[in-house]
Amino acid sequence: MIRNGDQKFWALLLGFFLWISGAEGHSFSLEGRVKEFTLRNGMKVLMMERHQSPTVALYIRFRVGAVDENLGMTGTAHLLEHMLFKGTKTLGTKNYAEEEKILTRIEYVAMALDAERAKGETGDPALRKHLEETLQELQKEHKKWVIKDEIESIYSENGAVGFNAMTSADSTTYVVNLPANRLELWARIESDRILNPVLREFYSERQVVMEERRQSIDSNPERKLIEQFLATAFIAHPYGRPIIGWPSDLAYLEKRATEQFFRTFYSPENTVLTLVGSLEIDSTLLLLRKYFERIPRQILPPPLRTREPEQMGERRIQVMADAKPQLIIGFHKPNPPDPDDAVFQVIDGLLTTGRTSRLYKKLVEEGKMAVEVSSAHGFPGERFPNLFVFFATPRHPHTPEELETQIYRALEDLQTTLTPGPELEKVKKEIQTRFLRTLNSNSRLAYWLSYGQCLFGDWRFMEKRLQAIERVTAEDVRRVAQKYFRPKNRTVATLVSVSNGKER
Amino acid sequence: MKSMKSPGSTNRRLSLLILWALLFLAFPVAAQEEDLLKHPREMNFPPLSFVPPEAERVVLPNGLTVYFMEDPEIPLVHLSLWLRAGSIYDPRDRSGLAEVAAKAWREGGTHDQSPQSINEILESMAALLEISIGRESVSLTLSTQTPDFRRALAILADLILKPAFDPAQLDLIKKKEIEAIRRSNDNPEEIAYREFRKILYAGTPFGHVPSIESVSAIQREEVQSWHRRFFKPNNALMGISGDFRKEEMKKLIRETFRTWERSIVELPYVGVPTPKDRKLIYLVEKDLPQSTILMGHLAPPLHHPDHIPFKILDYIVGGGGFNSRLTREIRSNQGLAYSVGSFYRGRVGFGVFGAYCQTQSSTTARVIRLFEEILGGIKKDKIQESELEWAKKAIVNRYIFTFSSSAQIVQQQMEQEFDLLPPDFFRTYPERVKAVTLADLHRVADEHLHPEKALLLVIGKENDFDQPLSIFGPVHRIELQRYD
Repeated sequence: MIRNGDQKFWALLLGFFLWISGAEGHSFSLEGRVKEFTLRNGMKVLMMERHQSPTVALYIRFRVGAVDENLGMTGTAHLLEHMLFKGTKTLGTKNYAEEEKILTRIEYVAMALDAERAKGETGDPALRKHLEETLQELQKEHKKWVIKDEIESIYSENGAVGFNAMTSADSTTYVVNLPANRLELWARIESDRILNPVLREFYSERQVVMEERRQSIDSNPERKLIEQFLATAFIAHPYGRPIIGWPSDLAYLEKRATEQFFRTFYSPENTVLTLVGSLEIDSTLLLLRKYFERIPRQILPPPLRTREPEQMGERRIQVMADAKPQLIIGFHKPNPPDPDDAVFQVIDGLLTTGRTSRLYKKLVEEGKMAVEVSSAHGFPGERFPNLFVFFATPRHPHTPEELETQIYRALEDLQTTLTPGPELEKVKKEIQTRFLRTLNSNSRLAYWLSYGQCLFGDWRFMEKRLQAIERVTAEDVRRVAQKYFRPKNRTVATLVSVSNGKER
Repeated sequence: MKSMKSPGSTNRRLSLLILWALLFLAFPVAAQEEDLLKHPREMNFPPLSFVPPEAERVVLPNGLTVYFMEDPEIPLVHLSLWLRAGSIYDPRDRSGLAEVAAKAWREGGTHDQSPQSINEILESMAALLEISIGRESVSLTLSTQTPDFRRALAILADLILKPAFDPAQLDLIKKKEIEAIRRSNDNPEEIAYREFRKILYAGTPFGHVPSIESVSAIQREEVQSWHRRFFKPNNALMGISGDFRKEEMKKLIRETFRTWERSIVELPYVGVPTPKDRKLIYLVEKDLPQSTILMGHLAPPLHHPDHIPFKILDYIVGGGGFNSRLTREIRSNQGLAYSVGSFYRGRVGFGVFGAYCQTQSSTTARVIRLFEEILGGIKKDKIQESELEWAKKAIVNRYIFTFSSSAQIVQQQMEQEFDLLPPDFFRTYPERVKAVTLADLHRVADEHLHPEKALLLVIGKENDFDQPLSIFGPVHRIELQRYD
């Protein structure tokens, strides 16, 4: 804590203690502590003062993710996220005017090379070789103008922690934690990243992302299974596509299309700036206005209208891999703010959270047929109707099929028998306490505040969902289980062990 | 920031801003653009003054050391307990004992209460009680809402003082461990780090890995005597942070653990690994589109005077993100990998350094050659003053993040004591980083960086490599155990 007797802070804190001690003990509210502003261009700002240490967590979340990609360009949102680390017209370059000339030439050659590569066997090997060599020459030439990873080096020498970004199906988030006296550094760099990004080194970064795919999906049987599972569960909605992109799209992603994607979606109205930590609201707001209000407003394209059609019957797939068996089962369900969504979070708790959860007891502890069983209530995202998903790992010699049968039995129980009150209370308390634990860190607070604001237009989203969870009754659980956990609504994927091409 | 501001400054600043806003209307955009695009390296920041709070250290009559730190922001209490124990004390033919015993302790119930009823009580309060084991430490944590702490603590104390090691739970835990072993060849990274340790730490318990046989052989009596041997107050450090009053908490802890009796805990010296005298190359054949490559060797231990200079060296080589040499060349310049870099960990008796990379099969040899060039290059071309400055600034400026939460502050003080570090180790850390010179780094690189005597380990499909591994020297092949 800062030792400076800041009156306002203590007053605030004091009010806050009275509030929580007056309530039931576990209650806690962000109300009054989070300040919300809208900049002139429509950009949202959320700020929260926490003076535990002189540091700040800084999140910029854009309402754009893999769902916003068109077919044929899967992986664009994520590749763009990588590209925004490459700098701007003033960061990462020795002389942008000179550099730009070479970048243009590189782009033409790379496009010609991509076109040639796409011909495959029918292409001209000599032309391809020539283009490859030309590209390499130009890239070498380009290096003379580049200051490598300058943004990262500036941040790191200023003491940044956790400088990173993440792309999900729903949103893209740029994160850094800085010593509190360096807020302006962040405003300077990030506003520049949004205003003047330069997608330099595009083609080598595209290769990096292909390696990322090889590492995270192609060499990882479990992730492969999830990818195939999603592609089966969604036949129309882009939630069925991998965030990192299909390999055949990834190999040909275009710089121009990526820039176009940036211009379309990184609009102020899609942007939430979230600052949590040792800061002063008024002066920080002035700073943000100065740097971020220059970013021009833009018209957003119409929202995605595709909705997943109702599933007409069970879907079932297998993935063969040199790994031990796994099982995934998913059921379509609505997303927030649909009131049924909160019921699913309670079901998630009842079935798989903790050692006293129903499936843990039945499959892991008593039946000893599973190593682990878990579930997720908003998979793979929450901006659109999504899935309730089970992941289960059988213990040798038990099979995925045995686990499947047991999971269905547990779902039948939910459909036929009302959940006892204490069990429901236990689950609710666990969810509340887990939320309290996230409040202990600037970074996690910034994560969730920006999440609610960006996806649902409301930073109170987490608290509202907690309130909705408080209201869930045993009848709700039974009704929701009956409505959604039907064979017709499910997709089942199993990983089948093979070694040297043979099943085992 | 606030502490430095004089009373009048807000107004001055405000009027400046108003003026500035008018300028915004009067001049073309370029005028302010220039101001707002000032290079970050030319920006100045107000100084940061911060005296991190300290946890209070108390030693109970039975030898239990406890750190206390009040932090009333959120109505939660967090407790950690660290024991000097771990997998290095497992008998060779009982490898996995510490893991199994620690979990059997947690899951096994007490003399008065069944495992199920303990879990019911804990989970009805949403209390977390978890234990995890390392090679030289066992750590357990308890986290509850403030009103529930007393009740949860009583359960923890019962488990410590009269654990039951329920046979059914023990059986379940052994089965879980066995299944984990059966699945331990599914993931290339897991294979890589396991085999790396086995070879680099061969001849010491640091290199031992549990097998189905060693886990199956573990008996309940062995688990019980493991608990009797290591769970002693004088062999433990405790830390408590969160929403409580310190004096009340001290009293509660004193009362709760009054009957926990001290006794002599013998921790045998198990030796430390010895450096290899030549290059060693190992290949694990696995049908994958991407190779996992590790190259490394032993490095200065935590207490070595070269620990900090080597840490900085590692930061420059590959530990410092995009601007470190390995990442810049292999990822950023050549696009050969998503994951590439280096790591250095100084443990109490020895340290380990390694470079890692995952690259498509057809660029495996190319990456290995780059590893050799870059690691060798550090010794040949020497390090630039600018690199050293960058690494030092980064390590020093991010230092305040180690005090971000009360739990972290408590943990840092515990770590200092647990690793037998001097009491000012962490507080003086930034000063000691600042003191490192280029000459230090050059000497440390010469003395402690040895790519020519490193262990090179590759997991991948050799047929698809750009060149066979044998171009680097004789290759040993590791056959993975097949579990059906």
